[in-house]
Amino acid sequence: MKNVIIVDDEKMVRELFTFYLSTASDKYRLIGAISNAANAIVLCVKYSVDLILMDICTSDHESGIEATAEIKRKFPNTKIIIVTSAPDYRFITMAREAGADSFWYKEVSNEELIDVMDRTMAGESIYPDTTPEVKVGFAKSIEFTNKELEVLYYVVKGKSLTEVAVIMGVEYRTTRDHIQHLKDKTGAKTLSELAVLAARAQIVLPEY
Amino acid sequence: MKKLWQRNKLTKASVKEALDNLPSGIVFFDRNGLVRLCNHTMYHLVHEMTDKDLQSLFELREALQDLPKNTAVIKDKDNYILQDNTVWRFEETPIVDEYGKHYIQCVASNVTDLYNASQRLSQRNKELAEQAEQLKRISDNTSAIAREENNLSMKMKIHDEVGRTALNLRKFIISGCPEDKKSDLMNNLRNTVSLLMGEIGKTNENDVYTELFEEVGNNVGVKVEVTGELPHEALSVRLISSAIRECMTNAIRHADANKLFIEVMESETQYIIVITNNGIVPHGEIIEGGGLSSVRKRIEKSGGEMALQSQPNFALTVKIPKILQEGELLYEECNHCR
Repeated sequence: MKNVIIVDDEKMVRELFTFYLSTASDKYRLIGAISNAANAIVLCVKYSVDLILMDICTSDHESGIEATAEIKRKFPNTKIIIVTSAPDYRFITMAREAGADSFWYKEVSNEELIDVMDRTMAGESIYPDTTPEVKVGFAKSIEFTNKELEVLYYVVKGKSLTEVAVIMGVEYRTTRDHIQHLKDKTGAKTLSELAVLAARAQIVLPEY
Repeated sequence: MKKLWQRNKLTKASVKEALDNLPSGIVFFDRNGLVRLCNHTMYHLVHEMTDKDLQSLFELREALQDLPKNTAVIKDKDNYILQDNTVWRFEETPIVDEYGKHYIQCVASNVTDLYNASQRLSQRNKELAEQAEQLKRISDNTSAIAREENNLSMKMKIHDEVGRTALNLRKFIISGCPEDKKSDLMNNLRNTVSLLMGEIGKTNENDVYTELFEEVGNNVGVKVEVTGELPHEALSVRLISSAIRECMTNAIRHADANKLFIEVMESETQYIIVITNNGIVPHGEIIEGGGLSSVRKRIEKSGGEMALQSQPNFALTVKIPKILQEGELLYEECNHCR
């Protein structure tokens, strides 16, 4: 029997995952279903936790990615599956860097969660090849380059284009051009409109 | 011959004339601070500022430091704006002539164009900063809406599960339920009902302390007793909960404690939180590991303090200022997020 922790800021999602677990109660035992990623480490200290289903955007602005890195450092044998519905372009890379074993998109993954859990526990690392394709204005998210998304990320975070240029080590003109390309692709007329489209599609989530 | 001599010879009058033709104001004071040479522009500027003629270096310094109350000149940092909207900046330099005599040279430069350009730039920067802030607010609000949409989608999944269970139930009622399936069906029904109950009660989300004390604390066998009222401002909560969490972890791991005591005190400027436990007293001085030093880093970065006591019993004291550096705390969050 494998001990499992569910971390998700939405009670409804925790309930749903608890339900999924109950359908495989011969294999998995729920240790705790919590909303704050940082709290998972306390449970890991007390119990021998085999698997954590870890959301990224958890309550109190605690990042599931940061918690994953810490848990993996202290409990390398605990498997962690990052579970998110946000198609932010950075999340897959961030999850890999933090040492997460697998990555599952809540809404769009073809695999069943229990199946991903079984395979992860069997030593497999399951990651999607790419972020889910979402519509951002007239464009599809796959049409954006990573540099364009990086500029957009900082802009949505509240940085001016001059600051973005300094952070990215590029000319101001380059950042302005990236924004113009994004506007052309999405059909957004203003920077505010572009930010709204990006945030709505969750392709950049600056608070995590 | 006299005319040629006059053209080639520098006289006091020609020096004065040359200085008067300068677009800048210039004045030289001797070591006693008395005016030795001053051009028209400088006289005019000082007169505008003080309504008096320039007499000494000390008067000029005083006027530059604190403009007279009745003057129409406006001071903006190092810039002096005259009634005609020209802007001037003064600079003082000590000089020594070829005979070793010491003078103070004061130059007033017309920086009107530079000042206006800098004003326009700072106005533009202010507008850009406002726009950036607005963008961030829009993005935060829109993200919240997107999350709500995801919830809705999850809700639909739950309803699918409920529907499936209802169908199974109907099938078994009509055609009978085999003995070996009864237990599965009952489990399914129980889980579905609990799922629905969870959905109904989904607005009753716990706050950070409640989850940490009740769901996590009770789960790991550590009862938390709080004296006083813990702060509820988001940033303070984040710092304090990280300290409590670390103490709870250490209480389980090292002290074998089953109680955590939190005493909250408050002054005008800060919250003081002392965390102790009922476990085994540390054998020696506690050495800060990764967890505690990470908590210390967070707290100190926000202007707070953390003190660790090992004897006669373990105690962690945290002082959190009531006004926190919001930006620092928010964007300190995690390296992965950058």
